[in-house]
Amino acid sequence: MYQSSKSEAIEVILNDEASRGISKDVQITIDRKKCNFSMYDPTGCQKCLRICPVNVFATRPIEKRNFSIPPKERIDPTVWILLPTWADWCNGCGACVQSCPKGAITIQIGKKSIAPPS
Amino acid sequence: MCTWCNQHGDRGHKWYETFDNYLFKKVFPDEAAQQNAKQKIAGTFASTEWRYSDPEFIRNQQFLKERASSGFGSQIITKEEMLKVVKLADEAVKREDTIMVVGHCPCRLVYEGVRDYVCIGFGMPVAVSMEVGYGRLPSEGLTEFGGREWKELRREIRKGVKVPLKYEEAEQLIEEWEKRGLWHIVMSRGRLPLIEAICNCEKRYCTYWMNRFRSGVKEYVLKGHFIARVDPLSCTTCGQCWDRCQFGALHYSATSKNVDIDPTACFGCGLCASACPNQAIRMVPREEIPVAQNLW
Repeated sequence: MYQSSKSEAIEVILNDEASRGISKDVQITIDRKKCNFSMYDPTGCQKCLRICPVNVFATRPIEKRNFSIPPKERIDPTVWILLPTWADWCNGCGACVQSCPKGAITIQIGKKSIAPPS
Repeated sequence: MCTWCNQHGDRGHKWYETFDNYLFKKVFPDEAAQQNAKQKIAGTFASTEWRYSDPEFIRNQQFLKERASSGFGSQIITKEEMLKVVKLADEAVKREDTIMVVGHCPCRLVYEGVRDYVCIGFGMPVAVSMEVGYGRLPSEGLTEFGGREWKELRREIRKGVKVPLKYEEAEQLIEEWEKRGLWHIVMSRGRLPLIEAICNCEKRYCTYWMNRFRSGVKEYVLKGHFIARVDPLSCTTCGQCWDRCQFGALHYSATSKNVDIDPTACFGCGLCASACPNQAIRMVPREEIPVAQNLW
C-alpha cells in the first residue's frame, strides 16, 4: 500500500491480469505509481475516462484480498481503481496517452507502441 | 410480442403494462419467497453491482448468460410508454406503501466517474437495499470526498436523502432526459416479472448495451415494441434527428437528400421522433413491419 493522493490509498497489485487488459494483441498498461486517479478527491484526475471514444477505461472499488472477511464486506467503496476493461476495443488514437498529465498510460498494439514522451 | 410479454404479460398486454408486475406481493405471493427475495436484494448490490466494470465480470459471457437467465431483463421503450410505466409504478408504490426515488446511474459512475441522477427506482427493492445515494442529492453543499468525513456523509445520505419522488416531478424529469437525448429502459434486476427501475442512458456508458453488443448476451436489453418510420413527404431534411440515433439505424443520404431508418437496426427508443419538428417520424408497432417483426 502506498499513498497516491491526500485522501486515498491505492493497493498495488503486481502482475495483475486486470491491470494489463485481456487481449493479447492490445496491451494497455496503467502505471499505478504514476496514476493520479481518484473518484472523490477533486484534485484527482479522470481525463482518460472522459476522453476515450470507445470507453476502454472503467473504474471499480477495490476488493480487499483478506479472505477472512465475508465477501460482502470485502468491497471498499472509498477507494477506487482504474482498469483498462475493454482493452481490445482500443482503436489506437492515443488520446489517453496524450492527455494523461502524469504519463502513466502506455499502449501496445501488436508491434506498434504508443508511449508518452519521456 | 417479445419474450418477456409472452412469459409475463397479461393476455395480450405488454409485460410492463401489466399492473401485477409492479406489485412485490403479487410476484412473490408467499412469506418465505418474500423473505428470500428481500435478502437477495440486499445482497446483490454488495456482491455484484459494484463490479460492473470488472473484466472478470463483464467479459465473462458464460457468467453473464447465467445471470441473465436468473431473471435480469430490460427493454427499450418510448417516452409515452415511459410515462405510463411511471404512472403504474406510482400507483403500485402507493398501494404497497414504499417509495419512488431518483438514483444515480451506476454505469456512468463506473465508466465516467460521474454521479448522474438519471435513474428512477421504485417499490420494495428500493426500500430494502442500501444503495449509495439512492435518493435526491441536495444540489449545493455536498461534496463527495474520501476518508472519515465522507463515510459520515454517506451515512447521512442513507438516512435522509431518500426523498420520495412524486409523479409530476418524474414527468418533468423524463421530459428533461428526453431533451438530453437519453433513451429509456424499463428493467428488472434479477426478479424478472417484478419491474423495479427505469434507466435513462446513452450508448457510451450503458452496461446493458455492452452486455448485448460487446459480450453478446442479448437478453439484457431487448428492442422495443415500436419502430421509427420516416414519412419522406413531410421530411424537410432539417437535420434535427441526425445525431439522435445511437444505434446506427438512422442515415442521411447526401446525394439523394433523404433520411432513412433501417428497421432491422432500430431499437424503438423514439428519440428521433421527439426531435422532429414536422412530425415526419412516426413510431409504428413492430408487427406492422415484416422485416423486423421477430427481431428483438
